[in-house]
Amino acid sequence: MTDLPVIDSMGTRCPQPIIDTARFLREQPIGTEAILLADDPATAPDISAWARMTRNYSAQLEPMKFLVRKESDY
Amino acid sequence: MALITGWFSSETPLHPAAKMAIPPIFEQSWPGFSKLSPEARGLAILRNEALATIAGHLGVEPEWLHVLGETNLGFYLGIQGLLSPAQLLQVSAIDRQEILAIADSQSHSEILSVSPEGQIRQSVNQDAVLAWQLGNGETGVVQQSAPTAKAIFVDATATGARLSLPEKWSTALWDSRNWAGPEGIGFLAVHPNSGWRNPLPHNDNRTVPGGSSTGLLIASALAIDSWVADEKIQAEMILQVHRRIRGYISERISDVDFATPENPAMPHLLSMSFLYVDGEQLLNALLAKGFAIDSGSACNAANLEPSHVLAAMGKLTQGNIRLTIHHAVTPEEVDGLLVAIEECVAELRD
Repeated sequence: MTDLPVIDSMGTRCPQPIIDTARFLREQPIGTEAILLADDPATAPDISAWARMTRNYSAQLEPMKFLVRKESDY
Repeated sequence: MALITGWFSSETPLHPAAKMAIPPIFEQSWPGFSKLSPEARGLAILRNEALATIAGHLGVEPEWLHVLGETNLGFYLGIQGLLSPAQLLQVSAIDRQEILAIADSQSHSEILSVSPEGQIRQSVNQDAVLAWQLGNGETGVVQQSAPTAKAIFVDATATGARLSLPEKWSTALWDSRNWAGPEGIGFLAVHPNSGWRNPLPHNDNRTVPGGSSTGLLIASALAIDSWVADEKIQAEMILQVHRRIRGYISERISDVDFATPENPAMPHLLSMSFLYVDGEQLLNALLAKGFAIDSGSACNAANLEPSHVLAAMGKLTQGNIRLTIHHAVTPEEVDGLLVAIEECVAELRD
């Protein structure tokens, strides 16, 4: 997991971490995984809502660290 | 640009029936209503009539209803007065902040989680005191099952006269603003079989501190009478407007997360979130087009935290708007709002 690409959204406010994630994964093939780093408190509920709405995957690894995986084209 | 409508935010102007009556009411409401002068006795009669009117619309006996000069104090009185030492307090994750704060201050409390539809999904402890939200003021969620617990505090501050109390209840709280009544006045009902005890320091048998305004009470009674009459005429229109807004937005805008369930029990509320949109920017863009609305997004909260209600339901918290559909809304205002939302969301996503 240490080799995964990192989306660094630290210090940005909602909805920027979600926009950063969506922009990065949009160009990647299905199955691509990445680590999202974000300290905005809305990231936890919003990355999981994003995954549900766009049929992708997310999991919170640590308070400010999330695993995201592209599972669909959106 | 000047505000052309304020009708989609949660606050309502005072009902015209109450507004017209306020100057004459305040001319009469200066004596202490418990004194013996003719003016005071006249005022006591008016006060009792006002309480009976409000109690009638809320479905409780007038003698069970107590007037609060500070509505939010009712959360503490209504809940704390039911709790015995070391008893468990259960609240739901979508309860109001004031209730979550009371749960936080207890040695034994539990926050019940909710489903994506906002329904409580954990089982209720039958020996506990339960805080039961009759309707959620942010999403319009109404619990489908009837509450059962040893004692039940009903939060009716978002429902007002719209929904009846459940069959079993111990204490209940309403906010006068819910029926276009004046702000700064609330109502706490205490059921005689509830075992409620005044949790505040007191040296008499009063239920509430008693610092409420009799003038505002009378104005609130005039407002609820008129509001209930308006609601009978306008309820169907509000439901149609709700369906129209929801239909238009679902059809024309992608990536929308509705927090308000379909077939809502409180159709005057509609909460939705737009993916990749900043809630504060959306609010300002709509305001610039003349529409005042509310938002549960973090950028709009004083503490920069997103709405705990949306988060608890697993809904998107960014780009959230909350529309309140009032009795006086016009089809033209709805048309204008829909076009404005569509344009603003497209611009902000660009």
